[in-house]
Parts: sequence; C-alpha cells; structure tokens
Amino acid sequence: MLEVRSLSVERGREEILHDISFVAGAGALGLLGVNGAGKSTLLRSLAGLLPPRSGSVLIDGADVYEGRRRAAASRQVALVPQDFDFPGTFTVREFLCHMAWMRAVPRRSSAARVDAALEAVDLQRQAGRRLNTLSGGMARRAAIAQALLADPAVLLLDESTTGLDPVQRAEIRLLLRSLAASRCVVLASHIVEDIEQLATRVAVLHHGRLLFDGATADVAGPSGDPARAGGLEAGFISLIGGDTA
Amino acid sequence: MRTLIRRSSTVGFVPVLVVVQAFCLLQRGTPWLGEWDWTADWAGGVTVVTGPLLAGCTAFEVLRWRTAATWSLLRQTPRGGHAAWLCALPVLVIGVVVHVVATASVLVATAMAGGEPRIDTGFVLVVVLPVVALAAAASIGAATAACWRSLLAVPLAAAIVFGLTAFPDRLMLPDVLKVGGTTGSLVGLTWDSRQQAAALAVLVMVSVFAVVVMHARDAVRRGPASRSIVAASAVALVAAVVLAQSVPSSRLRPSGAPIRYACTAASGTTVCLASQTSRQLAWLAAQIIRQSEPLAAIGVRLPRRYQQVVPYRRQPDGVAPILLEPDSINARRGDARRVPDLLAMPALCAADTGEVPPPDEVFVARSAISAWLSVRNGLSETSDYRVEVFGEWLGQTAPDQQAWIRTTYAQLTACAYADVRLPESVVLP
Repeated sequence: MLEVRSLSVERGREEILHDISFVAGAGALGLLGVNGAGKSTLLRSLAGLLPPRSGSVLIDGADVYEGRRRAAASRQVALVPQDFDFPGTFTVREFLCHMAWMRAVPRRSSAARVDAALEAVDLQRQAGRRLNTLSGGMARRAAIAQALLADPAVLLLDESTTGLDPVQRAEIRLLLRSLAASRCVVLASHIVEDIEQLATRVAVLHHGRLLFDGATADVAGPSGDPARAGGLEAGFISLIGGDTA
Repeated sequence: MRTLIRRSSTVGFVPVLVVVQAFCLLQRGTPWLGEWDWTADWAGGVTVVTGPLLAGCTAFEVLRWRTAATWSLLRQTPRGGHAAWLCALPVLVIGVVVHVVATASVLVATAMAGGEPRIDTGFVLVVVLPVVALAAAASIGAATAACWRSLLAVPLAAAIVFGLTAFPDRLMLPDVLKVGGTTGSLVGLTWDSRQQAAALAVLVMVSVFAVVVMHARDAVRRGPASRSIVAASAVALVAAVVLAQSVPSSRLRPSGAPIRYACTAASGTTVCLASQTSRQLAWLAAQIIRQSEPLAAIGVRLPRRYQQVVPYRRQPDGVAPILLEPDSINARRGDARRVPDLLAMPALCAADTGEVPPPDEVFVARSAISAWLSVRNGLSETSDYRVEVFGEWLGQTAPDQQAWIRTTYAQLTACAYADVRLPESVVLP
C-alpha cells in the first residue's frame, strides 16, 4: 500500500508540490494534471528520488526516505520514466539482466524473473533485439518489464502512452490493466482518455496541489455540477477552473 | 559486468586506444628492448597520452548513462547508489586491459631479447602505478561528467588530466601523474620508493575524492554525513599532495645495489657490460678484439679489461671505459664505426669527469688515433679526414705515425694528459 502524508517538495526555493496526502492500494490511480502541474515531480518523489521538504512517503509502512528502511522500501517501488533512452546497444535481455541486478534480484532467480517479465510484456521474441531497434511501443514495454523484475508493490508510470500510435496505446493499456489487478499502479498522464479507461481512481494535480482525489466517476459524473457532465475531460477542466496553462 | 563492458561505447574506441598505445611505445623505436627496468618504465609513460584519452572516454560513457530518464531509472533502484561508478568502471577496465596487455607484450619481448626479468618492489610499483594513474584519470573523467553534464565535459576531462600529467609544476602540484616514460637506460639507477609511495597516495586519493564527489552529487539527501565524507576526502587529498611535495620530485635515484656485469674474455682481453644492458656483449667484444689488432701490431700496450661506464659509479683504475650510445645501448649490434672511438679512450680519467676538461690536445689525439684505426680497419678512407687538423698526419708514412701512437696511447692510458703532444704536422687552430 502507498501512503503519502503531507508531502511538500521544493526545487531551489520554489515549492513544486504542496501538502499532498493520499492513500492507494491495489488498482490503478490516475494522476491527472496539465503540463507542469507536478505529476513527474510527484512520481520522482514517490520513487525516492526527490526528498521532501516535509511529509513522508510510505510503502507498506516503510518510509522511502528513512535511512534504514529505505532499502526495503525501494525494493517495493519501481519507476517507469516518461522517456526511455537506455543505451541502445543493449539487447532487451541484457537490459533486463542489468536492471535485475540493479533491483537486487537474487542471482539464482534472476534469469527466471527476466523470462517472467518478458512474458508479462509479451517481448519474448524480441529478447535478443537491441533496444535501439525496437518500436516505441516495444521500448515502452521493455521499460515496464524492468519495473516488474522485483515484483514491486507500487508501479509508477510517467506518461506511458505518450508518443505511441493508437494500436500501441491500446496494447499498453491492456498490459497496465492486468498489472493493476495485483498491485498499486500510479499512472501520471495528461491524456485524459488513458486515465478514463484505466483508472478507477483519479488524483488531480494543479500547480503542485492536490485538487481532487476520488473515484474517476466522481470527476466525470454529474455529482450536481453541470460543468462536469461531459465526461472526465470536462470534469477535469472544470476542476482546474479552465486554467490549462 | 561483462555485458556492461561489451556494450560500452569505449569498445568501439579500443582500436584507437591500441593504435595510440602502440604509437607511444614505438615512437622512438625500441631502444628499451632488452632492458627490463627501462621497458617497464617506458610502458608506464604511455599513460601521459592514454590517461587523458581514458578520461575523455569515461566522461563520454558517463554522459551516455546520465540522461535524465536512464539516470532516474537506475538511481531509483535499490542498487542505485552504485550507478555512478558502475557506468565508469567498464571504461576503466577496457583501458587497463589494453594497457596491461601492451605492457606485458613489451616485457615479454624484452625477456625474449635477453633482458633479465627482475621483480622487486620498485618494479611492482612501476607496473602498478600506471594502472592507478588510469583509475585516477577515469575517476576525473567520471566526476567531470557528473558535475558538468555537457559533451564539453569530454575534452575538459581530457584537458584536466593532461594538464595534471604534463604541467604539474605550472599548477604548483607534485609531478605524480607522470608514472613512467624515462627516455634513457636505467642502468645504475633505481626508482625512488618515497616518490613512488607519494605518487600512489596522491593517485589513490584523487580517485577516492572524485568518486566521493560523484556520490555526494548524486546523493538523494545531502546531509551532514555526506558533506563530512566529502570534506574528509578533500583533506586526505590535500594531505597526500602536501606529502608528495616533501619528497624528491625525481622518480629515479642512483642505485646503491652492486652493479652486476656480464663479461666475455678472449685473446687476453675481457669485455664487460652491465647485466641489464648486455645485449651486444658478444658483438662488442669481437669488435674490440678485432679492431684493436692494428694497435697491437705496432706494439701498443692495450687495456686488458674494458667495462661499461655506469652513471654515478667510479670506473676502476686500469679498466678501459665503454661508453654506449643511449639510443643503441640495448641493440644487439652497435655501430662498428664507433668502436675506434671507444678504443682511442683507454682510460676514464679524473679530468674526463671533472669540472676542468682535459686539454684540447687530448681530444685531438683521441680523434687522430680513432681515425687511424678506422682507416686501418677499412671502415673509412684517409680522404674522409682531409679537413681535420690531423688530416695531413694521417697521410704520412707509417713509422712516424706508429711511434707517436705508441707514446700517446701510453700517456692516455696513464691519464698523463699534460704530457700529450700532437704530431708536428698537427696545429691547433
């Protein structure tokens, strides 16, 4: 389980995230916000890469920023960054083997985990191909595969379908839906359609603040507000007051 | 690690490293071939060029890994703390392997050429120091790229390492990154163990400091512990530099160990060369015996022992000096035309190494005897010396020449330089 308590993050003197709190269990949590809302910063902070000014991030009760428990917590969370630019001379299998080591997967089970991850993202036949020869969709699946190696409780995905064609996006969505069945998947995106189709729960970020945290249907549904009757997109725009800058 | 090495961008650069290594090793020919210590030292000197290259390669490789997305991916993992050095290590391994293979190759070649393998502390350090220097260069490259994430870090890292290696005095730093490359024979010399220890300390601390800076820069939290470690490593580096300033800057010092000679004796003449540089002993002994025959034939009393002059060692009395040319000291065969010069100097006298040089007459007399021998041995013609002050004398009849040679050779052997008189036909300008 992912628990975020009063998280505030600064970069220089600028506050990027302000007093963010939410709890998420198994299932897909959509993180919705315009460009610059703080989605990627929040994901990096959840991944243990951006220490907060205040607040905490707990995964199954272990703080990702607390010295002794940090290692245990970092095994339970995996980040799939927005871009995938791992050195392209590696084959898919080599990349996954290296990441298995980085993710502290025991050596004896490493090969089996790599095979399982390849199977999970349906890249078995591409295992021997170099990363720089993969299509955008395949590269994205390889990036997701590395996150699955240590079987994390929390999977953080940053704009996972950006730049993909409709078929590839559909494939990735299918994959993420299956992954969300057994773990917490936090999916940051500014593509409302992805969130709408994948997430049962949505957190709306705007200017570093959490504007909404609840069921996707509550953003998209009427709930007494006529402006939010036009689906998730209309509800989202209504929530941020039309401020898309 | 094997995958990291195989997929490193530096793999494509290996042929360049090999060519540069070979060029640096062979650019002056192979005067070191056959002399164990000189070979090891010369091989280490290649790091003056390969060190900056490796620093640039490391910076490039680190930049390749440090793209925002890949770096987030790596650093987020439980072993993310190793990411900083892990991407630099394959480059260092490749550089060290190329260097070690090149060094081993030239040492094997030297051993096959007759060089006596000699493994002591000085030798071990002179072989290890270049590897540590490469590690320091790679660390500087990695740290430069970590601190300045631009492609300009590549030439900058190379320039920093080259500056520290080639111009330490201008930077008011000890000359420790230069860990080899002596251009002359090491016979009679040995490596200064204090200088080697200081170099090792500084190089290790440079590497440690660079790695610590890199880690501190990447640390998720830069707390007091992180800052303390950076400060402690900086203090240790400064201490090592100060220590290095207090030891002699010269890498070599006169050896106190007895010089071992390899000798050969024939026709009552013994010829000895230092064991380290004895590759041309058989050839030289044969030449001395054969080319001195014209002197023996006219009744000149020749030295019974010829021995190589070793720097910082006193030549024993009554022993003729052998001064070998630095470029051909380890050649299997020297230049036969230079043997008459050697034979024309039957003793190394105090005046030859003192502050007041011998009279000009001595130099002209040696030249005249050398020319006479050269002509008698068929190595040159009388006409070749027409312009020399003794040109006319060389064309005179044999009896007049022989008497002067006998007298003068005895004076040169006895170090009676003041008694040396030139023939009447030879007038000094």
